[in-house]
Amino acid sequence: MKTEKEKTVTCALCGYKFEPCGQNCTNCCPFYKQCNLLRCPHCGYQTINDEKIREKFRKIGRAFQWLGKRAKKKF
Amino acid sequence: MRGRRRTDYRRAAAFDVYGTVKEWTMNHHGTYEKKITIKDTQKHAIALIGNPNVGKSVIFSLLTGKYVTVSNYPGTTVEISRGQNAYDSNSIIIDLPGLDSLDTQSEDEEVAGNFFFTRTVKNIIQVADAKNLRRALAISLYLAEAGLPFVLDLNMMDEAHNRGIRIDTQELQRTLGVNVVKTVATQKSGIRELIKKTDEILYSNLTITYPQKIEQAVSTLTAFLPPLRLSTRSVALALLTGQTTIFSLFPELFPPEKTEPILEICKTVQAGYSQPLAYIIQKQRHKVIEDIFTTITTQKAKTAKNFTTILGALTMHPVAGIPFAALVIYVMYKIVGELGAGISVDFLENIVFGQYINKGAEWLFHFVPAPLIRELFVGQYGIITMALTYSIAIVLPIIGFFFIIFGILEDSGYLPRLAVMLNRVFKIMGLNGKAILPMILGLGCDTMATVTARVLPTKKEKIIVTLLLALAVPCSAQLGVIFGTTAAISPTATIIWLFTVSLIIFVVGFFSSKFIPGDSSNFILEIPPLRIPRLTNIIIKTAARLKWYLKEAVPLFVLGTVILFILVKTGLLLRIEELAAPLFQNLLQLPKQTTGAFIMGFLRRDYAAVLLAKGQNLSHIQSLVAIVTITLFVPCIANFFIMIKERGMKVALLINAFIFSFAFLFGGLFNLLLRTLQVSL
Repeated sequence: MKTEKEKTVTCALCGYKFEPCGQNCTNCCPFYKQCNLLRCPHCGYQTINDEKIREKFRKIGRAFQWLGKRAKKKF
Repeated sequence: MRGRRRTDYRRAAAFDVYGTVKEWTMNHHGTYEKKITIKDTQKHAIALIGNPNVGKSVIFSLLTGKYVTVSNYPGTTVEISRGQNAYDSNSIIIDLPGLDSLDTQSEDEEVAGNFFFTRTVKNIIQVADAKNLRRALAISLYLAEAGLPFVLDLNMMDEAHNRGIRIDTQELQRTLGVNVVKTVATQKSGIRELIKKTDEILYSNLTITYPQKIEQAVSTLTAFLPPLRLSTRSVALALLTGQTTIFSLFPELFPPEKTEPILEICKTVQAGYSQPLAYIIQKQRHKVIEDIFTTITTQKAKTAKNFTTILGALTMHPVAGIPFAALVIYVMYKIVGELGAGISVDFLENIVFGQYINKGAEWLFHFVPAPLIRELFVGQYGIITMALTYSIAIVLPIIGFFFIIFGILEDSGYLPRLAVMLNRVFKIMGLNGKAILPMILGLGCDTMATVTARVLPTKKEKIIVTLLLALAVPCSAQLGVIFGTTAAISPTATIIWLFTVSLIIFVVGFFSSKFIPGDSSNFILEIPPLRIPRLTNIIIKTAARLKWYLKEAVPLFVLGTVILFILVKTGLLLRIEELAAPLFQNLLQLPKQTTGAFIMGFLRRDYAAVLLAKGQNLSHIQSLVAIVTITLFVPCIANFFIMIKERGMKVALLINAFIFSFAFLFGGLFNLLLRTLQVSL
């Protein structure tokens, strides 16, 4: 059972597509809790996980759309 | 009222292959935390086998329905994991390490090879990359010869389709005599069909005929062999190729009096050939693979080369690629150096922080009665006036512009081309993929790249790669900050710094090639097409990277500043400065006040670079010497901890001792060279 929406991430180095789950920074690293890097299972290159920021951008976009519609109705 | 924070724990089970069952819990960071031993269950086993990086881990997690995969580090799966089959409560799925053959060359192949000798499985799922079918067929042939039941899963069918590869699965099914299923694991396509076919237990009817002498030897050897889980024919062939691990696996079945005649037969057969038997057997297998491959696959003719294809090829060329690399560095200098480290830093540091934020903070803290607290926040080594000013007014604009460029490089598909170009250049120097890979991975994160060194077979190689990473490979964030601080000195300083760091990588890499054996690694880099980067992607990636950097680096900047503050207040810094004076004043010809900045280099070398570039009144030559020296420091404190974790305390301390000695000695030499040649920056 998946608890969060899974999206495929494309490695910036080798182009391999993989699911972000389980590819987080290793807990051997003392900063893993705040680390937002994903490790490509193919080549090992660390790509930034931009899903949260992307979602925030989507929310901002939706908010602007909503405001635009409101303004249209008003004027 | 605030409720208790609920942590989303997802439970998953991972098992030791020989029976010990361990339960792991995965926290919301996606990492495993607990390990509880629970009772084993006697269930049917379905083994997952396949080449590395064919999507085996994804198939495994889809079949088990849980996030069991302790992800495989490139090229290997260190542990064998088991999970409950989500589609059948009476069976378990066992994930074997990724392998290219079962010739027991590496530790992983040995583990997978021995597994079938020691464990009975109900069925085997062979996961194959549909794009690289030849590699997969080598394993199929092994399973067929071993008399093991299997289902061939052609994964990544979408990618094969995009490349114009067509596979006649019906013909493949007929040739092998087992079920063939097409899947796209990342899209969860074909998984139900795979499960359905796994219930049908089919043995391959494929037989390979070897030269007559070998066939005779196989017949003779089978008479000596006791019944095993694998066919005696496959064991006899393995013995002829020199694989004698079966003797150590079953010493009671193979006492010396039984092994001697077997080895004698092998020797006699070998004497009849000028080439090794392993080579002759492999050659015959390759011929069969090639025959099957050409019968079942067709590939559309490649389309005519367009502009982006030609440009893409040029950027990878070892000679023609150099002007492109130079252009990238020039653009980076103009944007990061002039726009980021120049205009933006001036504005933020002098106007935003200098005239407003710092003055506002000073005014606010003016009301605080305790002078020590006041100084801690707004003094010379204050959290606001130093840590936040440096991290936000100096580092943020530099790193922001650098991440934009880095995002463009990633999104355009130039980064893998640069890796290929570097690979060729390094190969000329005698380096192999194993030595180059960590350097490229280090650009992402040195700490994780150090963990990746696990993939290397010997302890010596692991130590060398760890040393190389810590010494000469800055991660992208640090590269950006150090590049920006150098660019703020002058264009000549940037070129000298780039040349020096490249030279160190080359020299250290060259010597490492003398220690790391010259076998080329199995690292396969698929080159994506060159494309125009998408603006939204660049903005989002830059924002995500900035967030990551600020979350990781700023707390360390604050910690470093507090440490400096304590050292100043207790008078320890003065004592350290006096002690280190010969090193700094005589060797590097730097003022002893730079000691504090170098101490901060222990936490993060980019912080030290900023402190040196901005916090001291250094001449251009002094700044460059200091930055080159600090570039050679250990990247960050996390890297130091990971060294201890991966290589042990003794080795980690030795590596660090070497790095610091090398950094200062090289810094001294570099300073001498600059002054002797009277370089003007």
